Amino acid sequence: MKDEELKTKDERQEPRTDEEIQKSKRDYGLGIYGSKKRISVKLLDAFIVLLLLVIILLMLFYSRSEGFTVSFDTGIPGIELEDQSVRYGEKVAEPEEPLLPGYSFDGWYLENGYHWDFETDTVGSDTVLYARFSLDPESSSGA
Amino acid sequence: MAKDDVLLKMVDITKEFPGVKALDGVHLEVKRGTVHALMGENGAGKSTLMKCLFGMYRKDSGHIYLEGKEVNFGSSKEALENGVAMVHQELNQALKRNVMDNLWLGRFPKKALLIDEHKMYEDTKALFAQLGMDIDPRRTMSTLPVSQRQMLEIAKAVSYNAKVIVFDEPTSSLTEREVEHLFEIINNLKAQGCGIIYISHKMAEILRISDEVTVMRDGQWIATEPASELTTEKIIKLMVGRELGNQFPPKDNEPGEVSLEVDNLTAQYSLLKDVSFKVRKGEILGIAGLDGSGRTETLENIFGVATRKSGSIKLNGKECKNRNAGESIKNGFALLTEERRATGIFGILNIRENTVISSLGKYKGAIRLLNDAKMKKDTQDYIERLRTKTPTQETQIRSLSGGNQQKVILSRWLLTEPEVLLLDEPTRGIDVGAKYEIYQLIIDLAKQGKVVIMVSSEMPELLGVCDRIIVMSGGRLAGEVDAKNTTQEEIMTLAAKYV
Amino acid sequence: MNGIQSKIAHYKSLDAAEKKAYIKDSLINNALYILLIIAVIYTYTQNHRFLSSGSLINIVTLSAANLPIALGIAGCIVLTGTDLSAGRVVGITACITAALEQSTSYASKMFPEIGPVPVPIVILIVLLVGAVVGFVNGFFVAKFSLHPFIVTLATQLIVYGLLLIFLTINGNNGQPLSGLDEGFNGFVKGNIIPTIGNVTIPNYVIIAAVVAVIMWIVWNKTSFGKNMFAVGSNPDAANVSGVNVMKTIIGVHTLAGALYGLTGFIESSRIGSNSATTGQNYESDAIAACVIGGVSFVGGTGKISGIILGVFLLRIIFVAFTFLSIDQNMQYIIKGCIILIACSIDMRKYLVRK
Repeated sequence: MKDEELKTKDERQEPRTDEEIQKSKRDYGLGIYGSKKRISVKLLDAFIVLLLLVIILLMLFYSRSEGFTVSFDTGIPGIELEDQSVRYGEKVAEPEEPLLPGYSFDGWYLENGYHWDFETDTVGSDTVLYARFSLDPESSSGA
Repeated sequence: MAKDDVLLKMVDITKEFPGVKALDGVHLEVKRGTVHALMGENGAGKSTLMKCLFGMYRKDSGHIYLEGKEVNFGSSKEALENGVAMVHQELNQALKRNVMDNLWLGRFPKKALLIDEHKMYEDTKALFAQLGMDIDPRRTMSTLPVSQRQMLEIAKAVSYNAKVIVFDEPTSSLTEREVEHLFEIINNLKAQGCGIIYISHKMAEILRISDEVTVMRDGQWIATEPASELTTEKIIKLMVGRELGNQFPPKDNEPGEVSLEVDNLTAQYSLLKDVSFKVRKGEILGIAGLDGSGRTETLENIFGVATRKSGSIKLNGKECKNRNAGESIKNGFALLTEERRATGIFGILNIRENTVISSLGKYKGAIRLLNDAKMKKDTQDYIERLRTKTPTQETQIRSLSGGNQQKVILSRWLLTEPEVLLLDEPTRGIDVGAKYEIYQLIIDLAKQGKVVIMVSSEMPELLGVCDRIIVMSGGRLAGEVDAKNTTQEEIMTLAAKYV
Repeated sequence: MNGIQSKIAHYKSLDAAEKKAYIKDSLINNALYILLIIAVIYTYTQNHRFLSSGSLINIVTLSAANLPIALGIAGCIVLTGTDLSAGRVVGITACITAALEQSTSYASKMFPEIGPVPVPIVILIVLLVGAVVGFVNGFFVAKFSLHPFIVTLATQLIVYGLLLIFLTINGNNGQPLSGLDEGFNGFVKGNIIPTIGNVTIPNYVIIAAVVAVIMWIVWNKTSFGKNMFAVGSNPDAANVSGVNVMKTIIGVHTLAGALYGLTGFIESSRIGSNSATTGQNYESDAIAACVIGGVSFVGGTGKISGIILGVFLLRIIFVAFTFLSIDQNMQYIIKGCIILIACSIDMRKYLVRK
């Protein structure tokens, strides 16, 4: 009788169904990813439940009803603008234009270069908006 | 120590599973200093009975007495601590650790808080001396052959001062010499007053080593007799309920003209060299030989799953290159492999998917899509024809018994409508009842004019089913005999020719 | 209905202890669905807009965008492999699409000489690019028996490198490719189905649905699909049974690559701005969705319906989290935990009982 038979052994000429899995078989098994170690089902169950609870707790603790944080980076030391709390799907209020002598303000941009449109764009995550400037042609006389 | 002292007594054990009574009032009595054999077909209930003893199953009713006291073990650990041990067929050992560690796992001798290696070594050596085993305690388990690892299981049992030791198919991986050694040890244990339960299918061994034999069938106790009063025929009759004479179906196939010609088959990567033979239509050719003599390699080379170096195969005069399985199937060949779990079944797939996989071309409609209805019908046809026991076509094949799995794989090949069937150990691990059905199938196939080539390690099977037998030895063809006019000795002699 | 009836009958036939075990099993195997219900209920209480029609359509469209890549990767998982190059293939095909479909009026167009290329040609190009990467993956896995993890890890890096180089062509210098042609955007994001109320179904949802149907046919009604499951279940047995294992493995990976290409095509318009980070880590979402949907790492098993379910489940949970304004970084941690749970449940279902 070969080892294989033990796994598919038919005790009573009928195929085995889930009902026939007894207590000790319920408790242990061989890993499926090729490992030959015995894996305790109880441990696995505990692990699954634990992870589930972790996720639920994280979800409860970290949900912020005030929404995401939108912050503004002017690039000018000394000139800071206040962060805004914006909920998902809502628009950002356009802050006042930062002034930099010799430059004209081009607008607020995302890090990847996207020009933020305060009329239509909505917030989907914590966002940082960067101010961009271009040389003001009138005062580039060189000093 | 009176020899009639009853060591272990199992009375009226009953265990039911939904829909099936696995054990129905079974009795077993093991006397001190004796070997008690437990026999029965697959499914007779032997393992279930042992599992009830070791607490892996909870028996529904009945009592177990150890040395007169009633016991109810909840686990094999508990049983072991009470002196009842099992030497498993499946060895559960830590292969990367050494012999000593495996032996004393869980009960290391300690000096203060640390493991006392010296004591462990000495204790191990003493144990081995007692059992006549010559193994270095410091060797790593993985370097030992399976037979020696099995010896260690026995040593472990003895070290627990086990009084009752159960051996489950202990000689399946042992050579003749190792079997002798095992018997010596068992006799030693007997002399020391242990009671041995010996589960095996090998009649000759049973009759040699045991004092009493209990036969079970379909979950019921059939008989307990002293071994001296039994013969192989009697045991089979008890096990199966039929005479030995009916072990094989009547052979009424008539071989016709030569159909398959194999010439000078030589393999690229194995010992196989210059194998040539011819087989006629409707003939059943057996291939005998020792393990490693090239029987499986012959079939694999004919079918194309092993690389051929030279040689030719002709079917009905047409040369068949058979470079791979797909080509062989197209040429009308079929190969039933030796290990169905490894290379036969798609465990997680269902019966139908396992059956049609080799014949998908048949079911492609006009737009190359598969015809589900036709596949279902054909699968059902074969389930009925081969009497495969399964609740539905959608059952996963891995939940079927070995015999039924084999029938599904046979269906797979029959569906390809082959001319030549190459069968490698077709009845391995299958109970006697299903074996008969498969023999009948093979003979029916021969009657239909097919060529059947069958590799088998069971001499009686070859003699009972085949027309001619070729004997392989050391990768070469040692000889050819006529099944009706030969003996087991003649075949064995040929098998040893080139060893 | 039959399935449910037999399940109820089965349950009734168990004894007390087994009933308890059955309930415990069911609860644990469906842990993620339980999480889904909790998340949905909680989010709704915090922000009613979560279940508004606009939000639901948003969930559907986001899921549709993630469906083709999941369908592709699923095939690799059925073969007991994986495909780590999926995300980067999406990235490169998105950028190729973008480069070919930039509007002529866009200032920093990468190929100023050519106008927006006709859509069918672009689709063919990206399918081809994806298929080539897939073919390379499949070839190395099949021919040299290298583990898919390593092969696709390598191709992931190679494709990423090619993507970075591509973005420097014609002096583009790594700038994101945007400003896509109106016609192209209309093809992907426009809607053939007229708007009902304020419910607009963009075209790519239809594309995704069509792809899902095609994949269902491939998986269930073609010999290629049957061969895929056979090879995934037992490659040795498949070989003996006459299945061309090498062709099957290469085919599955190539098909997956083509699907990633299609995903890139859609993403280029859907997101609008395509850079080196496009597609990054897409494979983790796709693999998670597949495992949740029942495509087990044990191989040989999986259903298209399960994959669709998995994609939706994952998407609903993450949209819920955005409505809860949970920090993006925390979402990574949660995503990882979800993947761990999915794999643990998968392992639990297919443990070999001894």
